[in-house]
Amino acid sequence: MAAPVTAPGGRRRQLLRRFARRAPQYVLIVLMAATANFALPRLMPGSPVELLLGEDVNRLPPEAIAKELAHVGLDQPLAVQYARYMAGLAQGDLGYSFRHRKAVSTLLRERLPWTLLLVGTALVVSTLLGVAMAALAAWRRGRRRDTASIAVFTFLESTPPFWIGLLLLIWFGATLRWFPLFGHVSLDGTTGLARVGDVAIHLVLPAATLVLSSVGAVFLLARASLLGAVQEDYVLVARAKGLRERTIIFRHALPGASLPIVTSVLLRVGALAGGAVIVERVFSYRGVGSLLLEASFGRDYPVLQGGLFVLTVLVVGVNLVGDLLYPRLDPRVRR
Amino acid sequence: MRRKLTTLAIALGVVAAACADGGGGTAQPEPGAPTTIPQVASLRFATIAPGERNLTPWTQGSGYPGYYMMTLIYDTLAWLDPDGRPEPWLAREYSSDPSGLRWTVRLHEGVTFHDGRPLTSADVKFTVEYLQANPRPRWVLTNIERVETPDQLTAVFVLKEPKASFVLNPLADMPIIPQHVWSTISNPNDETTVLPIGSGPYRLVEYSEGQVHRFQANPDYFKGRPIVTEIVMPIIGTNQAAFTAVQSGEADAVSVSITPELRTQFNQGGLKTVGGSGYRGWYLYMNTGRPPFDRPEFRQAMAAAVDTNDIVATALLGAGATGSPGFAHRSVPWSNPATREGALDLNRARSLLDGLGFRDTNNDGVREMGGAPLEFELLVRNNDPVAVRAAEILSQSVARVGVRLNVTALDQTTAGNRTWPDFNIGQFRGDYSIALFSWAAAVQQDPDFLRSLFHSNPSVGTLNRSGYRNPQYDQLADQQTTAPDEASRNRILAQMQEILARDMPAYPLFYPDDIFPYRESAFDRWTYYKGVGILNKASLLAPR
Repeated sequence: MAAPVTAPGGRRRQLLRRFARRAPQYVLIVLMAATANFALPRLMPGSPVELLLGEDVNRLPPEAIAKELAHVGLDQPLAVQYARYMAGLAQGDLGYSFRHRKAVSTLLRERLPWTLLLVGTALVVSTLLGVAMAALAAWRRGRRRDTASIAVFTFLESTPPFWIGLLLLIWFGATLRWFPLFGHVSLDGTTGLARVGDVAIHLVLPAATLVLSSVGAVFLLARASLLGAVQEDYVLVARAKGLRERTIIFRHALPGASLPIVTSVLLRVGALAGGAVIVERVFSYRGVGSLLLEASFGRDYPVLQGGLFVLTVLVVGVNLVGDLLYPRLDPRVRR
Repeated sequence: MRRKLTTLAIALGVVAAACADGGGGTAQPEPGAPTTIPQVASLRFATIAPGERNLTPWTQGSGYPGYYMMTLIYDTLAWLDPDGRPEPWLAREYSSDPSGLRWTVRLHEGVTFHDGRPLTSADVKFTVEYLQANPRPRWVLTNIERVETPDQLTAVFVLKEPKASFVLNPLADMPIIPQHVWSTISNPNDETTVLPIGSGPYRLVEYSEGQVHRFQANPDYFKGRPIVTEIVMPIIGTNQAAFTAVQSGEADAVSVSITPELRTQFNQGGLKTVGGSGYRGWYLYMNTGRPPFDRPEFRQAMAAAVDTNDIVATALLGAGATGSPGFAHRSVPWSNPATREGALDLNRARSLLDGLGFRDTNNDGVREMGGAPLEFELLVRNNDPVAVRAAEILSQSVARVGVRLNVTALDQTTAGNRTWPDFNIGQFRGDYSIALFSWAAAVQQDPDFLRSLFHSNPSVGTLNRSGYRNPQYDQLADQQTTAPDEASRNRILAQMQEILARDMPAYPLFYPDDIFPYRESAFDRWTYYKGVGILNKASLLAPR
């Protein structure tokens, strides 16, 4: 790409300026999200009392219920609970799980790496696969394989992840027995290289599910932007130079078409994290997603608040990074 | 010839067992164990519930399998046999004085906790006092005045009023905890990380949240070394994945019952199923505080319109039992024969509705009450496919007499909140008209539940989901709990069932059969606890 020459110091200043301009917006978004994360779980009907004290909680004397509610701070008015929650966040305290009776930050520390591994793998693989397939399709546009791949990827795009997951589970897990059916690692602890292999083999099916359910979007978008790019004059020039079609697609059209693809990668982080909630449950994968799902069933407010907050910060953070990187990719937005 | 073949088969079996790898199902018998039952080295039992935590009496979650996982670690003074009859357990014997106010329990000698400390009457006394300070819904011991400990092996429970079901609960239900461990713990609900110490046949040696419970046999168990040395219980996210794990051999058994259509599939390829008629049931509840459900005639009409046989035949594919209008399950000893048979009678339902003045004046197939159609939301929770199917059939059934029920499936916590808004005790204010609710097996195992389920005093009728009020019933319910002998108690219980069949605050619809799949080669001694499940001490201990 023909980027204008800028002194390194100038580029850093530019980045900082951009950051300073964007940062308040992002802080506001995070604050709003934190508030929504507090409010949404409490707007769900039902209460965490059964989670706190057990099934048929009505059999307990009212004093026992009141005592436990006070113990976890649910006796306080909502305004007080909200103030405590925000004050806790400011100090990095995400609260205390009603179900697990552990600090939410501890639970997240144990589980977040697994979700990041799962979502990260799926993001990288689905992007590479989607773009590569799109380039192939654009190269052979209009031919049978292109048409067929559009049908396949449209189908994948519209298929719910839990269904794909169950099919993979039954076929590759149960029938062929290539991959384990549940868990993020084997129950008999392994170490060293064996552990790496163990983690990888447990990752395959959940990651494949996420890849299959999200690769369609990448493919369709990348194909559309590639076909847009091949209409551009510089591609015409390349073609006039007598370059091979493959070189034109991969070396000339693809960089030009990459902008919307990069944008979609960043936006898909949020969608993939959402998909992980379902996929982790299907494969009993011990990540943040299954933790959040189980917390929403029991109305474990602190876990919902804390877990959603961390996910929000991650997604917003990725978007911020994208915002800052954009000028590098597209000179037109540099100002 | 036959004997020779048998010998050969045994020899081959021994060779096969010797060749089996260490992680497999079989192992050589160990000294000390009865020679007839070979020890099993390891067993994988998949559980679904994420809420069992570290399995102390305060942190275990579900009735099954949670309570039965917890009671692998802890013992109770008495224990139910697989048919639900109590027998002495930690106690050698127990008896009450004629007043029913003093229960004397004599403990087995030489029982120790997993850390080697002896289990004595002081631990029994401590358990009661600790539970009184930190009650669980299952063990609300307000009726116990005090526990006396005349010697190390004798505990005397002094009650405030007699309780006919005292053996069932607390004696056969309350786990005995070690005083030396718990005396320093101020809030047991917070104690979710330590591995519990009990006196039971198993020790919990690993709990990894969201991943696994791992049990190791207690070789010094006072009733003999358990048959299985190690039980690994992976925590699995969905029923489907757990069933698939059993099918593919990644698990040997599972905590949830399969639905009837899967039965054939799970009785082939080394798989078998065990189970029977369950006591876990589904009940049609009607809010007696809400018109027109406040009229007993209307509730009777609803019950008379429901075809429970059709529900069992269609939604359960025949794998279940129908309920009785008198509430008690037809096979419990106190069930009244006069109130056992189903209430289906469409003509009676129609004439009852006519009698109430609810007629279909605009000929749209739905009757009206004061101009408004008889149309209600039928509440059901959405995590049991069989129940949702049953609700649909029920609504079609009732439509035949001109009442429209729209099935509303809600998640469990939301549905619970509609029954007990914000768990307000003191006054029933259920936010529903008609609903399909389930009760665990325990409700049919102990007749004293008939008191908690329908007594109008909120502090007694803690489970009165229909807001039912009947002074005559209250009186009988109070009488049965202090009845001097079983015969007179059953007479009172029979009268209570007649009142319930007439007033119909809740109508038991069906009890799905339990069908638990397992891998035969791994372990085939699963004992079905009537109405409950297969994971229990009886499956894992050699009979003596």
